[in-house]
Amino acid sequence: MASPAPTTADPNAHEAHGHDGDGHHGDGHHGDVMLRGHDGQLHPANLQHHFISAEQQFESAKLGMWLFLVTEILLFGGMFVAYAIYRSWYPDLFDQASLELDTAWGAFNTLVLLGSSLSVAWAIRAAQMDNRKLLVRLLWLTVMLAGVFMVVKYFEYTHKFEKGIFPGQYFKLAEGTPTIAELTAGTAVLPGFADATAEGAESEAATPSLEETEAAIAEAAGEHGETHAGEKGHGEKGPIFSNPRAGIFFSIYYVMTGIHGLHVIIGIIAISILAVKAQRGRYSSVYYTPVENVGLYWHVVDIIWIFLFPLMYLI
Amino acid sequence: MAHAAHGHDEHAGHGGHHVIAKRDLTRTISILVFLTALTVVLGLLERYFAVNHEIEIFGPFSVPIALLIASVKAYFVAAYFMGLKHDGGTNLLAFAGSVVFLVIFLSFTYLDTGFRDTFEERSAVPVDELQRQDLEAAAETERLQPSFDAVPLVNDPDTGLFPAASTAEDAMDDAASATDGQEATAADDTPTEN
Repeated sequence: MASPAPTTADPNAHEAHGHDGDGHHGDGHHGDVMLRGHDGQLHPANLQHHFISAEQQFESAKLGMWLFLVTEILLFGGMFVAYAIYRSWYPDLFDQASLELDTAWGAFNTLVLLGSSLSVAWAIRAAQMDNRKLLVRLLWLTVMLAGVFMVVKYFEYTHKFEKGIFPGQYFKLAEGTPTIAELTAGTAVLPGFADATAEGAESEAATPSLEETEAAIAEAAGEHGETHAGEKGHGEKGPIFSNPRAGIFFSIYYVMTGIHGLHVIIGIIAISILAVKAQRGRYSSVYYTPVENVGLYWHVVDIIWIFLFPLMYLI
Repeated sequence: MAHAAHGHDEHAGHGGHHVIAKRDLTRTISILVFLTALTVVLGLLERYFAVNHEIEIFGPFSVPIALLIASVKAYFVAAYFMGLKHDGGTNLLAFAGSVVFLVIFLSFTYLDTGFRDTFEERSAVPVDELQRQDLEAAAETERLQPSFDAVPLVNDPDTGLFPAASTAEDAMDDAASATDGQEATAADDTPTEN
């Protein structure tokens, strides 16, 4: 791997190459965008030897990013399927729960994320136009908007924790509301199973059937909902606090928004690194692959929120 | 200098990248903001009427409407911000493929979970339930057996009064033997000849 001799280059290339003697394996910092390769021709400094051209390298990296994004879509897709199934089973639960989510803050956060998507798209345009100053500004703007999103999310979460809105069995139901565990205690989930193990009518009477338990839960959800809507100032108001199934919705809510929030945090870190590197002049119209790929990631985070917001907050 | 060089070099093919127009960016963000406002307004309207007037203005269509608006928004983000409109090719295939498989995932899971009670009740009685019914029927038959035994089902006709009756019965037995076979005839003949 002998380094090509810069002295054989034409004057233009020699000037571009500067004092860097690493051939095109160098990282090409500080404006070294073109280096002389083994073939004696000029190559972009970031072109790796197994690619024919910077164009091919760029497209390959982008396709790789898209394949990663496919797995991201399927990751969130699985959670959306869980949402869809539970919504089809308990539509009233989702109606009641959406009342507990603050539509105004949710809408605000949607606009914030849309704005950050715009700023990232514009940042890529700035990189393509070799406008480094604008690129750096827009990347920092994106980080700032993502930070605003997380701050709003933080206040939403803490507000819910104060009201006792926790996922699953930790959800604090209003006093007197039976939990699912109490309602389903001793239920014969398989109708014939109890008969087979303990024959006779007495075990049948002692073990409530699945239908009876369903009826009891429906009664608990409906009855308490009505009585509680009337009395105010006693504990938490709102029908969701007397629905024994409230924990189901908030399990889905916390997992989906939590993993989305994790993606936002990862995005903040990635875009901050981009911004610092852009300040150092690493990106230009010749090489801006990381900006493009992180931008794609950020748009997917935005698209997921576009679906999460109406499904959770509105309906 | 370097830029001048790359402009003519085939290896630095970045010149072919689509640079999104400012007009496209502003148009896309306007559409996205408008659609966000639309979905929020529709959601609040539905909630207002549901709480105050107990009217469901969208009813079962609220989820499809919300999903439709969100999908249009996602389309604009993917087509313009993500550049799929100008990329096409493999990237679009990967993205569209993920959506297709997501729809398969969702619809097949729903076909299972969405209709569980419906079809179980109508088409499939559990095996243990069938066995229970059989046992009940057998016990019932056993319980009723004494009352059946107490009443003779057929009184033998008085052959002195009705001489034709025995020949008629023989004729019936003959008819039965023709269909039932030899063994059945032998068993049947024994009580009637006494």
